[in-house]
Amino acid sequence: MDDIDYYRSKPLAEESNFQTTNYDAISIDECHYNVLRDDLESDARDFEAPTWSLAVDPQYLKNFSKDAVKRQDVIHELIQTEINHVRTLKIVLNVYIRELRNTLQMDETRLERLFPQVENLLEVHQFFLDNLKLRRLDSMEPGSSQNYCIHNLGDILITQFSGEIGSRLRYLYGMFCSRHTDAVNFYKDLMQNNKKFQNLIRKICQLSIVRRLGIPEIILLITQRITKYPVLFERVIKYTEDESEEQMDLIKGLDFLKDTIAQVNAHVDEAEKEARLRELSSKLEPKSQVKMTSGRVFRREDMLQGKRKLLHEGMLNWRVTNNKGKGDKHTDVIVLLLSDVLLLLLEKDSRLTFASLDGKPAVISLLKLIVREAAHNEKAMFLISASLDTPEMYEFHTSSAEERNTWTNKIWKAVECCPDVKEEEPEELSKKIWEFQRKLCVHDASIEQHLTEKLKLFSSIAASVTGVSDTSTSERHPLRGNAAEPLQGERLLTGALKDVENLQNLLVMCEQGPTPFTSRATDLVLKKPHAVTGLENNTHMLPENGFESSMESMGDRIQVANTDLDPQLRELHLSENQELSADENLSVHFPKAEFYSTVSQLSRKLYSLQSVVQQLESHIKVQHATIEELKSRPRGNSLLEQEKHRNLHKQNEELANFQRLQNQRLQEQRQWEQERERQMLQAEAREKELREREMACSRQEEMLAGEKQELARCREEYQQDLERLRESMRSVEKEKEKLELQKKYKKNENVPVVYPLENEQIQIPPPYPILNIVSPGFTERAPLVPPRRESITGSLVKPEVPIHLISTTNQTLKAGSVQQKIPTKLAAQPKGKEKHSKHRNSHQRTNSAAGIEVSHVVPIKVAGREGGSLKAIRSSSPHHLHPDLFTHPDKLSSSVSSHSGNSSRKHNHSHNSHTSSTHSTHSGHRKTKDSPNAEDIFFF
Amino acid sequence: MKERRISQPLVMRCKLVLVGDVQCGKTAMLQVLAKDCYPETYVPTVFENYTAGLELEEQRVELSLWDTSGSPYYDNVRPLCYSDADAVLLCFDISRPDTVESSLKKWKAEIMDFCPSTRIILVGCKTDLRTDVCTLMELSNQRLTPISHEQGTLLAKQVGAEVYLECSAFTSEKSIHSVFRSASLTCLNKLQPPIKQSPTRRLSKRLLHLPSKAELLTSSFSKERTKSCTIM
Repeated sequence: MDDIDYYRSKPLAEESNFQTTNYDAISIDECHYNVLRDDLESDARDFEAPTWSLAVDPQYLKNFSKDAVKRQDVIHELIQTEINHVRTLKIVLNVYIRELRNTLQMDETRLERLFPQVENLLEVHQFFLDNLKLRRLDSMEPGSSQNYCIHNLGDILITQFSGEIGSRLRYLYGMFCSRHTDAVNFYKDLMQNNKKFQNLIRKICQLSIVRRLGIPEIILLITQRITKYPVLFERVIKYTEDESEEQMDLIKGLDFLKDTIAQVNAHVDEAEKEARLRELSSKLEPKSQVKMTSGRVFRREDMLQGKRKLLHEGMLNWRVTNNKGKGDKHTDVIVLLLSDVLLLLLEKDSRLTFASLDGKPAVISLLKLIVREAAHNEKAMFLISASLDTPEMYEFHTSSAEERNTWTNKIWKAVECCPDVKEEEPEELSKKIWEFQRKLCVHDASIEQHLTEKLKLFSSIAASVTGVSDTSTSERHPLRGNAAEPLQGERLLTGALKDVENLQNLLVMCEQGPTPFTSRATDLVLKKPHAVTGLENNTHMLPENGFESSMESMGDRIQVANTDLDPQLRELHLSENQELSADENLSVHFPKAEFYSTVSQLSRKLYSLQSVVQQLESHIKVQHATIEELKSRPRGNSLLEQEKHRNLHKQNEELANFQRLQNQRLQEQRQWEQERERQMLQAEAREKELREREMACSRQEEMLAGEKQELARCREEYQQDLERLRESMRSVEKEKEKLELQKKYKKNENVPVVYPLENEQIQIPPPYPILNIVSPGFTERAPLVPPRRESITGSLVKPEVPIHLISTTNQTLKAGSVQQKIPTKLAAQPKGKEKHSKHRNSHQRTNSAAGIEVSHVVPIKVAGREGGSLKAIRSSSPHHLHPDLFTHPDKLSSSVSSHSGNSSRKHNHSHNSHTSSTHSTHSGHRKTKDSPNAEDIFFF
Repeated sequence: MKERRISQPLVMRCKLVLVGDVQCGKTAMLQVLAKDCYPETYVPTVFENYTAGLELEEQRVELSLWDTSGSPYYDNVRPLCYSDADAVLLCFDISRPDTVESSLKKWKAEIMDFCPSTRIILVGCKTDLRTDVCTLMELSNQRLTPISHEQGTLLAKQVGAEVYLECSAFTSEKSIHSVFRSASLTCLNKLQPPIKQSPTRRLSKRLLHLPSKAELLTSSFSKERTKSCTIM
């Protein structure tokens, strides 16, 4: 509604403008354009809405599926665009053409050049639009003015693009589209050179009804309209139910449309080539003429003859090879392939001339032209003109193999379609045949003359025998017979038969004549009807025999037609026989005359028949000759047919090669399938292997899971053992307090101190079997053993070194002892104690050296203690400080002895801690000894 | 000539034109040589051109082969093929002894008219028919026999051919190859100056006496090879 208001407002403004300029012109234009505007508005009525889905009621819209809605929208769009197209055509016809015709008095030729076939186009499209609108009205829902659904559209499309309307549409668009370039150029020329035209066009463009459409835009819109239909039709087909009658119709209509467009394109292409040919002809120098390969003269004007069309155009390199061996000549030429000739042209400064190279003609007739690809070069081709007068061979080179093939194919097709071959030869054939016919007629006439002469001779013989009156009658008869001969062959034959019958009757009467009972015989015949019938039977039989004899005689005479003497002699002989018979019948005068007259008639008819037969033979021969010549016509076209045969053979070879390739492809495909099967088998085998591996892996996983569980159990046991160790440590602390009390008693008694050592020696063997039995215990000990062993070995080595430094004699002994000590300690501890005793003796001997040694040894031991048990050291340190102050000298002596003893006891302590509480007393002894060591450390 | 001598070490180009009566076996020879296949169906030739390469002992030869029609109808077209020909292969069917002499005379006349300076090589085709029973019976009815090698040699002399060669496209590819090999060798001999020359050229020939002897030796070897090929 808003759009309508907008359009209405514009006309008012335009009207006011017209009033200001010219009142009379405004009134005329206004009235006319108002009518046109009403017409255009009526066309557009009911299609103002942008889509069908917006044009119908929303409630009505709900009844349709999405595809159905889209289908109706596309149909709506088709109708809308058709309305616009009809509007454009109407504006052209009723505004532009009307104004150009009335105001500028432009003639119809120029109007047609500017807008070709517009009136007819409007008629065709108005018909289409009316059909579409009528279908809409037919599809309207009853009782509604805007709800409709078009179910069938294909039939309208088929009607529009096939049959009479379709062919007319093809012609109209072919004309319009092929001339649209010329129309636009013509318009530009007018705009540049014609001021009145400029002013008029400017005014027309200002009219609101024109909607700013200029002539070039209009021409372009009309040209493109037919190319818009396929998109719309395909969309309608897309949203139409599959395999329905409607879809079939739509597809058929689309095919017709595509065919229409293809033909329009062909029409345009043809027109473009015609224009190109005209352009080239205009470029050709005037008065230029050359001889063709066929010997005729070809002029510039001949290029534009009605039948000639430009089929192909291109640049080729023309080469000539000489017998003299001077070298090849070559030049680039423009080659034009027309419908019946091939032109070779040279271009210089945009001017064309006929090419000339080694005296060869520049115009090659396609008649009897042979086209061949050069075997030595895939870009070269040979053209051989096989005309009778001046045969020539041309060699052309192209820029690519594809171009060479294009040229050869197009030239060959043109040669096939070249029409001159058929026109000439039939004329020649007809001339020859006519000449032969004429000669045959001449000979037939001479034969007739000879036959008539024979008749005259015979008649003269008869006249000599009979009277003169008979001669006159016989002379007249042959003339009459001659006149009727060619038309009455059959009649002649029947007449001859009758004559034979008459002769037989006469003979019968002659025989009955001499007998005395002739009158009685006649009476008997009259009285007895049976006798009469018997005579009739005889007459029937005799003529048949006569017929056969006459035919035989005719055959003989025909065979011996060339010799006139023989038949004359035979005739004389027959006449003599007849004379004898006449003598016998002398008694009857009247029958003789009849006899001779009948014989003469018979002979005349037979001769006439002979002449007729001769003519028939001549006609038959002429027909045979024509048939043979018709058969021989292919011989005249043997070149063309051989070429076709060769090309067919070549195509067959190509087909054979193609089939071979196809077979190879099939074989390769089979091989590929076999390989695929093999690969499938291999894949299956691999899958099996993988499955087996997976099974094995799963089994391993299960085993590992079991092992994990066992490890978890071990960890739990280990943790329990650790807890036990803690408890044992606590008990150890309690026992330390007891040991402190016991130390007091031990200090007083030195001898009892030695006794516990012996007890320890006795108790050593039992722990080993216990360790072997308990596997988790063994694992628990593993982390504790390595650091102690390392510390032990270090401590042993270091004290020995200073000994070596002191005395040279002892070095050898100690070195050997070191090697021996290691395995012995590991084997058993009692031997180790003996070694410790030796160490004690050495320390006692050298007092000053002993002091130094002690200082070196003490820090190592301290480190070992700390590594062993941190808690024990901390707990014992404050207690040890106090007693050190009181008993300083005693500690020094005891410390020397306790060094080695502590190391061995530490091992025992660790072992004892793992065993039962019975060993608590031993641990107490160790603690008492450990405390003086701590005191020594603090002192230093 | 100079160009050919210069190109001798590289590749030599040789143009051979095949002429002869209709259906004497010209096209079959060329197809066996160029396409390695014997044509099963007979298609009359109007004009064809093939190309083939041969490896001789000393160099490679590129053959340009021109096939023509034996029909009198194309007498005006055939001469177009003779230009720049190195040799003309005059072919005949050995199983037609009745028409050989007359046809060879005709062909010789045509060749002399259009290319008198070109070498002629006489080729006997369809040698397999010498042992064909049907052919022998038909000829025996007419009291005739297929043309023998000796007869062919005599015919070659009569026609003025350089060499007489034989082949059977139907049964022997080797014979085809040997024919074209021999033809190529014959064309190679063309490089030598002919016997008839102007006095000035004779003087130049004397100056180049030694090289000419070497060429003569090579030519004699090639001739021997040619003979051996024909025997095979």
